[in-house]
Formats: sequence, C-alpha cells, structure tokens
Amino acid sequence: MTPARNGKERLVVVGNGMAAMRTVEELLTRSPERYDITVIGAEPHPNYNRIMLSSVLAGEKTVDEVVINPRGWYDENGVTLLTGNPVTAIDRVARTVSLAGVGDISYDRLLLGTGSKPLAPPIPGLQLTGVHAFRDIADVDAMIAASERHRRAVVIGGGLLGLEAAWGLKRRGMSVAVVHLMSTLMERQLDATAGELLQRDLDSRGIAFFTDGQTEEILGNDKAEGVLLADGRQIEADLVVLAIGIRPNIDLARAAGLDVNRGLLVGDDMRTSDPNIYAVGECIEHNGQVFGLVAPIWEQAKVCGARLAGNDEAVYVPPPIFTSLKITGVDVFSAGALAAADEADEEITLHDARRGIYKKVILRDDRVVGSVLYGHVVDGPWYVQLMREKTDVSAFRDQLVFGRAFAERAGAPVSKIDIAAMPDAEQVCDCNGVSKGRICEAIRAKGLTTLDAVRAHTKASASCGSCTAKVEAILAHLGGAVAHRADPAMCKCTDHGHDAVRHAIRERELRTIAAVREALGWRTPDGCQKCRPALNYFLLCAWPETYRDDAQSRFVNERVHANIQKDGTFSVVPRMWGGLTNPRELRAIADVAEKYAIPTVKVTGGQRIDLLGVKKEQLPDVWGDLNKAGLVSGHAYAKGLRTVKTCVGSEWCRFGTQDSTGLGVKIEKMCWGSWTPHKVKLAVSGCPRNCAEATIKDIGVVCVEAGYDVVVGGNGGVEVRVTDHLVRLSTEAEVLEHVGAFLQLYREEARYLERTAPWVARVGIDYVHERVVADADNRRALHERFLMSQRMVQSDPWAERAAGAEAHEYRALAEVG
Amino acid sequence: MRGPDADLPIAVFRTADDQVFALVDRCPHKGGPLSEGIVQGCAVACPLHGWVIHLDTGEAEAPDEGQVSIIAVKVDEGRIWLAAPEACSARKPEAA
Repeated sequence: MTPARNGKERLVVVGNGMAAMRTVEELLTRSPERYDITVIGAEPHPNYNRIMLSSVLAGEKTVDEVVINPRGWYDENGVTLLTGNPVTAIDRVARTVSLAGVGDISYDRLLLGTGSKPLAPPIPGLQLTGVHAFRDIADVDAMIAASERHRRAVVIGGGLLGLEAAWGLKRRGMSVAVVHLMSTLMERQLDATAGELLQRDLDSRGIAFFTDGQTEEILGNDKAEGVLLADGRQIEADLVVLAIGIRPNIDLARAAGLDVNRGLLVGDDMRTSDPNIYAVGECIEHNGQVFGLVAPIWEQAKVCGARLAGNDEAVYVPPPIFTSLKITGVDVFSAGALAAADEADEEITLHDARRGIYKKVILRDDRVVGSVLYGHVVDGPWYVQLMREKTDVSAFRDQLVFGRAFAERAGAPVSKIDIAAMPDAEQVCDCNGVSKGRICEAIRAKGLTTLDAVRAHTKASASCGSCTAKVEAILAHLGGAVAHRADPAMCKCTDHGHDAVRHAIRERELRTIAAVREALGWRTPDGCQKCRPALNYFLLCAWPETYRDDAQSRFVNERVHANIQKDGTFSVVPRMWGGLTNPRELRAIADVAEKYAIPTVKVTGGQRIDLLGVKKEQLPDVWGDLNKAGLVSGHAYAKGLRTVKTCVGSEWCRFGTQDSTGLGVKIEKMCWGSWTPHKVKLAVSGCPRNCAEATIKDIGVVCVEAGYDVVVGGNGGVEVRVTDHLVRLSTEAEVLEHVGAFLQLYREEARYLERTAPWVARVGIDYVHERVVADADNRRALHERFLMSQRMVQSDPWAERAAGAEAHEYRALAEVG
Repeated sequence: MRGPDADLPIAVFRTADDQVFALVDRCPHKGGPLSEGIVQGCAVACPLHGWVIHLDTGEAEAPDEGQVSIIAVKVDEGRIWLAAPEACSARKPEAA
C-alpha cells in the first residue's frame, strides 16, 4: 500500500454517476480537506444527469446542458477523474482496485456507485444491429443516429423510461409503437384510470400501443426488422429500444465477496459488509428495496457523505418517492400509494374525462399517504409535503382534491416555505441535485434577481420545475423586494420583469415612459425595441384617459397602421364585421386594387380581404377611397383586436342554435380598436360543430340550445392550444359582459407579447374563472373599465390619416439627385 | 430620403441626443427598411427581424454579422448635408 499524499486518507470512488458524485459533493461541503479523492468512471464523459437523457433524445436539451459537473469542477475541487477505464477487481485485503490498463490504486475508504444495467428480456434477436438499451449517452447517440436513417421504431416497455424514449423518437420524426407487458401504462406509478388517460393522450399524439403484449422475438437476419409478440402480432421496425427496467450492477461487488442479494446490501449507514466500503444509488439494496428514482438516492448521498465526513449519527430513512413524466404537454404525477391498501384507507377522486383531468388522493388515518394526478399536476409537491409532514387533513378534506389554493381557503395550514430554517445542505432541486447553499451562493456571487437567471446559473428548477416555488422563495429571501415571482426581466435595459413594472406604474403613478425608466433605474437612456413598445402599452392601459401614445415607441406596423411586408411594401386589410361584407364594399376593394395597381388580393384566415404590395406613400389615398365605401381599418397590424370569425348560425344554417353572426358583429363592435398585450382573435360558432373554430381562439363563443359556452385561451399558431371552458351563459348581454371583462383582465395583467394561451396556462383557468365569473362585482368593474378605455380609442385611424394626420409618416424627407 | 440612384434609398436618423446619421436604407440581413425601425441610443432595430444596426458604423450588433454603408453627414444651421454618392463608404463620417 502506497502512503497517501499530504497525509490525507484516500477515498476511491468507483462510478462517476449521479449517486456517487452527489455523495462526493455532500462530503466536500462538510469536510473538503479530509480525503485525497479519485473518481473512476466507465463512460468517457464527466458526470451528467441521466434523468435528462430523455430531453436530449427529444431534442429539447443538448448533452452539454445535462452535464452536472464539467471537468473543471473536478480540478477546482482537487478531485482526480479517470474516465474510460473500467475497474476490473477489488482486493479488499490489500485495499486496492485494479484498473484496466492503469494498474492498482490504493484506498483507505472505497465508495461504490456502479449503478444499474438495463434488463434484457430472455428472447432471441437481442444481438441484432438496431437493438438498443436506453441507458447512457452512447445509447442516445445511437438512437438519434437511427432516427435520422430510419422511420420505424418499437419501444419494448411502457414504463416511465419507455414512454420517454417513445416520445423522444416520435419528436425526431419516427413512427413509434410501444409494446407493454401489462394492460395499462406505467402501472408501477399510475393507477388504471390515469394509465388509460395517458395512453389516450399519447395515442392522439401518434404513438401506437400494444398492451398485454409479450415480446417473443426480435426478428431480422443481421439487423432488426421487426418484433414478434407471443399472441402472433408482428410489428415492423428498424430500431428496437429495450426499456423494460433495470437491475443493480453488482458484478464487481459480488466478485469481491461483499454481501449481495438483488443488490449490494447496505445498512442505514450506507456501509456494505466491509466497513471500509460504502455504496449508494441504483446498485444497492436497503431493507429489501432497490432504487431507480432520484429522490431516495439523493437522501442516500446525503447520509453517505455525512458518514464519510465523520458524522456517525447520519442514518438513511427512505423519503416518500414521487414521479413525473418528461413528455412535453403531458402532465403526470404520482407519489406514495397508488390505491387504498385495505378498508382502513380512503380514496378521494376527481375525474373530468372531457378535460382530461384526474386526481386521486389516498388517505389513511386522516393523513395523505399517496396521490395520483393527471392533466393538472401543480399540487403534486403540496401532496408530497402533506405526506412528509403527516399533516392531519380532516379539517379540509372536502377541498383536498381541488388542490392547495382551495384547501388553504378552507382552513388548511398555509404552508410557507421557511427558507431561514432550511439548512444550506438541503436539496432543493431533485432533478439536478442543487442544494440551497449552492443556489444562495450563485445568487449572491452573480447578483441574480430572476428565476430564469438562477436556472441558467445553477440549473435548479430548470428540469421538471416542481421545486420552482422553493427557488423563488430563496430568491425572495435573499433579494427582498428585488426578486419577483417567476417574472423574467423585460429586456437588457432592466432586471425588472413585466409584472413588477406594471405594478410600479399603478402604485407609484408613473405616467410617462421616461418616468418609468427613471423610477425603476433603467440602464439605457432611451430603452430598446423590446421595452419601449411594452412600456407604451402598459401606460396606455393604466392611464387610458390621459396617456399620450408615443409613436416612436411603436413598432412600424402600429405606427403607420399597415403591415410591413418583406419587400418594405405594406398590406391593407379593411374590417369586415363578423366576416360580413356586401357588393358596395367589394366593388370599392376591386376599384382600389385596380386604381393603385395592387399586385395581390387575398382572402385571409380571419374572413377578410387583404390587399398586398401597397407602397407606403399610397396608403393614405388607398384608405381614403376605402373609407368612402364605409370600410375602416381592420387593425390587422395591431397588438389588439383582430377579427371575430363567425359561421352563418341560425339565420341560414339548419344546425344553427343561435344567431352567431349577429353576436359576432356585436362583440366586434364592442372590442374593435382596443390595444392588448398581443394580438387577439375571436370566433363565434352557431352550434357545437364549431365551424368558426372557436376553440382555438383567444376567446370563443360556442352556441348551444341552452345558450352560449364561452371558452378562452386557445391558439392555433406554433403551439396549438385548445381553449379552457370559462362559463355557460344564457343571454347575449351576459356574453358581451364576460368577453369585455376577460379582455380587460388580460389587458391589465398579462405580460407584453404574451398571448392569452400562455397567459391562461400560466395563471390558471381557475384564477380567471374566479376573477371574471365567480366575482360578479369584479366582472362588472372590469367590463366598465374596458368600455371606458374603448371610448378613447374607437376612432378609425385610417380616416384620420386619409384626412392628413401624421402625413410625415407617409412621405420621404426629400428626393435628391 | 431617396438617393440619386432610385434603388438606393437613404435613411436619415436623429437620435434622442440630437445626433444625425445617414445610412443606406437596407438592413444587411434581408434588406429591410431601417428607416421604419425603432431607434435606441445610437442604434436602430430593423423592423423585419430585429437586427440592431449601429448608426455610427453601420455594423450589426453581435451575434449578428453584417454592415450597411454609411453616408457622411453634416448639419449646418439647421440644414442636413449628405456626402455625394462617390464619397460614400463604410467608414465613420466626419464630425458634424
């Protein structure tokens, strides 16, 4: 045995994965000088976040983005890292490990974090080209390469990992089938109802499922060509991914004579049967349990790090485990028990099949012992907290299933996160393994003030987001008033977010752009193209009667009241109320198109007519001619009300239940001319056949026999979002009031350039419902404020300019030469 | 402002601190009309795709790369003088 350098004890770590490295970090925070540390990793990479490999596969993150500790970290902390050379043997008597191609390395303490191996089913064909596990970066690289060359993939295994693999491959353009042995998906984490909802959702996203499917053979000669199931079903495939589970990797430990069962056996002190050898992570077995999820592994790392640092009290107690699925747009959460275990247990469920929402909370002795959530999962961490703290929920069990906001109103203890009492070592972000101490250090050292900045610097809250509230609380704790809730900085001119600026404008009665910049300490003298239009809008919304619009802070389209095109010409779209027009208007449009030689005339998606290729200097004359036929600006260029699309409704249609066209015109007459945070598109459909596509609009009205369904927050753009149902009403007057109130709430509270879809998704439909529907006084007040501000803006900008206003905008300074 | 060559319009800017600049009115990215952009400090944001062009050098702000020709300007008793086309090049104009 060679003597240790500097008289330090030598700690050798076999495994450079999440569990082992987390343990080293925990050790370093407690006792940075105690050991001379050598880490040996089999993969040729620094330590990375294996959980996030599905996001790499889906193309949402790069490999660099999932690295936890880059090579520089090892140097900075005096840790020697040896990668690419697997350990071949442990000599417990000589206290050495043998390293292929390097020789023996001595240790005083040894830490094993050898992880797990993918399980392979006992079937023929595993050796074929095109068959991969989903375990490490090499697997992901191989899968990405396959997705570029091939079209068809089969994933064997419908658990967490298998579904994430399937989604990633689907995102990369493959046609994907999932074979699952059980009858419902993710049966270890979800009950049958949630599993079926999940399957329905993924099915609608184009993933095919073969449940109750036992794989018999992978077909093919040299390369995989398909999968054969025991019941005779056959699926063609160029890529087969095995994701049926993992088993502890204990080959090395077993060969060294350590006690093993399914996994490498450890006690509560994380020590193996050899007192000099510790083990953590997926390779171990503790109390009959093996591990695959991250939360218990972090807890093991904490205990093991403390033990290595000399703390003989630290004891491992398994924490409640919870799961969430990383498939964009699919929200699943589960923790603890999946169902009542016996008659003493109770289940409370809420199931809204149409909206795809399912919530189940399992109670034992008035304590939460488990929860399964689908579709609406924001309360997941709260249920885990109730489980962890064993809170008696009898006082608010009526409201429990509706979530934290409702329950706290009904008397649940308002759980404030006590940041001051939280120890620095406490893990805040389980996905990326970031402690409170590391977050605080980054905030102080780099002067961070926003959630996004903390995410960028520490990766805390950057993955599943379930710790966001804690990270925000830490920000608020350290930054006081500077920090604000998940409110990203407006632009490079300021650290203030939109919400904070809007709040300051109202509270401090700031009435000009210059006053806002002055009061909030802008870094630039006159702002930039991002903050100027935003501030102009915020002020216009806050002070509709007195604020003077600043043309120099308007984007060109809003300044000249036409849409700039790629060649610098403009387009002109007159308003057609509810999509209605008449011969006189059409004749005027035809005449204008001919008179000004307008090259393109096109019908728009919003039921109007677009004149494209108008030169800027022609605009006032074109508008003047259109005005004469009664046509006014359609505001097709504005962050404001665009169109109200309608179907013909009960006036003509044999299915129509109400006068959808007439109602559309009334809504458009109420709303036209309004400025909003982003463009706003409406629609009114005369029956649930929904020909006006009202359920992907910012506000939609769907007429039914009994009245009107008002739906909000839809979008048909880059990210399609179906509206949330707001309310069913029985009269047109009520519809107008609710539409006006909703628009005003959006105008007053959204961030600039935030469409209603992300806004509603962010604040939640429950919140909107509370402000617009449940609270009638508030609704009326909102509607009145909307009408008041409308009185200031409802004059046709085209008529004003055709009559000579702002003429300088439309002509050149001079012609020279 | 339109130059002697009708294909080469010129944009003239006055910043908040009363400096005057002239550039060929074509963004180096996709030819967007810089004259329609929002001015900020000593730069303008092109209305088509948001490139930020420095008025004194004609250079695009990083990470974008590109440069538009600048035209020498002189302000004399309220009149703006622009250098003749043959004198135009991508260089800093003489002090106004």
